[in-house]
Amino acid sequence: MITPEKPLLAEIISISQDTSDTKTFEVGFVDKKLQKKFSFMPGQFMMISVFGFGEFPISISSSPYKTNSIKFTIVNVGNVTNAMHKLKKGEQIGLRGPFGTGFPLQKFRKKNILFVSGGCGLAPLRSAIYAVQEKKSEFGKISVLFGCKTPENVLFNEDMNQWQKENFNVLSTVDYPNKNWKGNTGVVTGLFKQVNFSPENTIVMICGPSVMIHFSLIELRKKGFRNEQMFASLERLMQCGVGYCSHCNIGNKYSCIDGPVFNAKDLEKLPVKEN
Amino acid sequence: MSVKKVKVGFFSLTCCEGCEFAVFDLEEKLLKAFDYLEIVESRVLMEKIKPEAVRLDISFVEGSVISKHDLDKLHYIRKKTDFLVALGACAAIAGINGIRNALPEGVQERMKQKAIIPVKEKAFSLSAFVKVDYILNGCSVNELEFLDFLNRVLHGVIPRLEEVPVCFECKLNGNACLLLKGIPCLGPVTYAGCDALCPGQNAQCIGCRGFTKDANFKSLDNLLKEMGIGKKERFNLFTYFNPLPKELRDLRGGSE
Amino acid sequence: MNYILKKEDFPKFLELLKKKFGKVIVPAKNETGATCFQSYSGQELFLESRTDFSAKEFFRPAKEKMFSFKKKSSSFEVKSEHDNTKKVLFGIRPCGTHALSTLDELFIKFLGEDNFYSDKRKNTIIIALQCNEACENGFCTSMGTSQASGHDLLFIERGHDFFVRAETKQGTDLLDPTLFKHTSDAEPSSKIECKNELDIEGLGENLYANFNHSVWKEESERCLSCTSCTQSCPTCYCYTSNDEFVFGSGTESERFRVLDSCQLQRFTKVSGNHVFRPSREGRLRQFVLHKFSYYKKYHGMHLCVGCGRCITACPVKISLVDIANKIQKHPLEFQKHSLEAKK
Repeated sequence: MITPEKPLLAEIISISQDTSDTKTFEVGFVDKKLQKKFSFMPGQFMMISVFGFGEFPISISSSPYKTNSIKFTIVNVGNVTNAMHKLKKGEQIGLRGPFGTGFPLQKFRKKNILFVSGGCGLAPLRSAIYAVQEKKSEFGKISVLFGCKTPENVLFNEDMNQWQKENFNVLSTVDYPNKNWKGNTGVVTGLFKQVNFSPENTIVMICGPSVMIHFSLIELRKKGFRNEQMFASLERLMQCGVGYCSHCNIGNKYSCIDGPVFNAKDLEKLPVKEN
Repeated sequence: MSVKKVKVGFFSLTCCEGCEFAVFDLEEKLLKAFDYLEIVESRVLMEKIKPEAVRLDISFVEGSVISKHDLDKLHYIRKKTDFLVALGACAAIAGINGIRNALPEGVQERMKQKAIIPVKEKAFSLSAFVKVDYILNGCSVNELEFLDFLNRVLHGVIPRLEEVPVCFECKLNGNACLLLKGIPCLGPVTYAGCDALCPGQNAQCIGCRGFTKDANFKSLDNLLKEMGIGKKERFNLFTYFNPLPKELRDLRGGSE
Repeated sequence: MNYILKKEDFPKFLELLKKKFGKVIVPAKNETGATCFQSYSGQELFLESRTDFSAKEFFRPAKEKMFSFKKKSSSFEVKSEHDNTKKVLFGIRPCGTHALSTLDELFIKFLGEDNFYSDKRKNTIIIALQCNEACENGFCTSMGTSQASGHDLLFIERGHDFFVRAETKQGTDLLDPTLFKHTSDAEPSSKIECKNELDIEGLGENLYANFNHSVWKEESERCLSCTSCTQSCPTCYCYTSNDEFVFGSGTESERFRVLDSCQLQRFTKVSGNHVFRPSREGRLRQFVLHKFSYYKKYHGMHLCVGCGRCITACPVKISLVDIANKIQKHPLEFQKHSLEAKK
């Protein structure tokens, strides 16, 4: 007898404020044995319960090589995430998962990697970037593109500096710059011209709002990228995580079990913008 | 839960004050809530109210705005309230007061002239003048929905109004469909939350909880027409509580 | 083994079951005139045809408590609900038995047993009742669900008797020898002919290939999104989980599974109020495709047993059989209208 929807207790170990509406929570299962056994693929998501308020799906934003704890980067957008933001260190939440598909990094060895992210879409990608960083020698050139609304929304500044030090090509852009902003302005697809490696032998991983994913794929195809090289993580309302509740049904796929990471070839066939 | 009590006020504009009564019908259940809330103003509940400049966490306002007096009072309430809730059909959609809005213009004008107090040209819902943070609809409000709302708000959850029609709850309760029996019913276009009270008693839904944004008026009107319901009757049914939907403009005036 | 029960002894049988199990569920009329399954307490049974509402309430209730959470200083206690009430369900039609096998596929075989469903399933003895006539909108003969399966006992009406076929041991155990007599009679033939016919040849693939067929828009234009179809359906299981605080406790909350409907916009609403499937066209298509295409892809069977309840319940007479047949007869040429071509 199983209860796939039973949340397991976890404790908040630390909290960091990333931007005005975004916090990263470091959590660990209360049952230490469980934490020890825990492993995941970058791109996979978990369900967090804030007891009494509900559950929400969230991608893991920490490294798959550091599983003593798990990190989630959470934007305060609704009632449940708002309740999450009010929690303090030491308080308990419920965790289920990890669920869904991740980025199949082991298949990307020896390739150049291009990460394209928009807004909080950098969070699930950060996990993949950490993984690539950990095994840097196994990959080719690495580029991280990031776009968001304003300079205040820029996530993970420290990480970006670190990635720059590792010789990753890190480029960011904002829609609405302020006086101090020295980076690019405009949409993230505008950064593609600054990435100077050829489509051959390159893998693209995308995460962000669906409009951004849509236009990124179009632009990249124009540049000669084939569908097989591109992977995107889709946002849908995942609720049970195990294919029971049908909320995340999109075309003939479920984003909780077939996704959230899809190959662009699959994505092309799915009615992503179902009228 | 925190000990600091939530300050609440009940206010009535032009209405029968029935919604406030419906809420106080909760009796012990409401008393339990008094552990967490403090009623600062309520004409029905309190012997004597000293109108204070006290800030209110939540105001429940029932009734429509039909006069300048109502409007001034509404602005006053809004100014001192953090979270304003329209309580009942009159406040949410002008309700019974709004029946006159659908009358022919000549009649409306005469009514205005003959009124004992100076009234506005129409009866208005609260949202016509101020920001309304949440709507508890119905004539009268469903007290259990009110309780559920309180329960959520006291825990810091802001409820969302969902686009769910009365039919959803009606079917959950296993009721026979009135439309299939040939009885005109506004269930498919009206917000749920009443536990399908009327259809469950074989009485047609008359839309007291307001029309959903997702409503398919054209199709329902067609269906009623096929059932042999005349144009005037359909007009009266659709405008019983609600303003006539744009899609059904043709129903205004004249016979079939 | 086959038995005979005299119809006059039938109420005695129900009383016996009630005594033994406490809860017997039977088809009957409710106070609004709709037929549904309810607990037996001597009321008049409805045995003419299948009920307006299915028996899913007893396996996938409209609101089902899953967990209760209790805060104890800084930690929480999570308790899982179990439902171990034994009961007997009498009068479910062959289509209904197939509906349960269809749900078993997801909630028992897909991941392992989902205890909320399997508890109820295991603790319910099923007595099916054969149909002697086709019902109004049914198309079970097309779906291959006109003969019961997975039940414990099968009752077939025959003049003044019920002909009873025992399928399982727990079914046979119910047959009190004072009421049930062995028979060597041949089983009465129970072949029915449905007026409604659905061509299920390659249906799932074909419907999905016709994602952009004009029939979706045409049919959905009169859809009221009232959810009568999904709620009267014996296999529509989609749900939403909700947390609620126990009123006035401050430290206790509960999580519920609440039956939801793909016909509502809220079904695909995420925070920030974005709705992924806003149009009526898309929602109606989701209902039909989930039944014939998606479920088949994942679980190898249609999520439809041909009971025709959704057609009967629809106030504006939208029929999924008509929609499916229209596409089967006049599909759009794949090349011209496939999703690739749309872009």
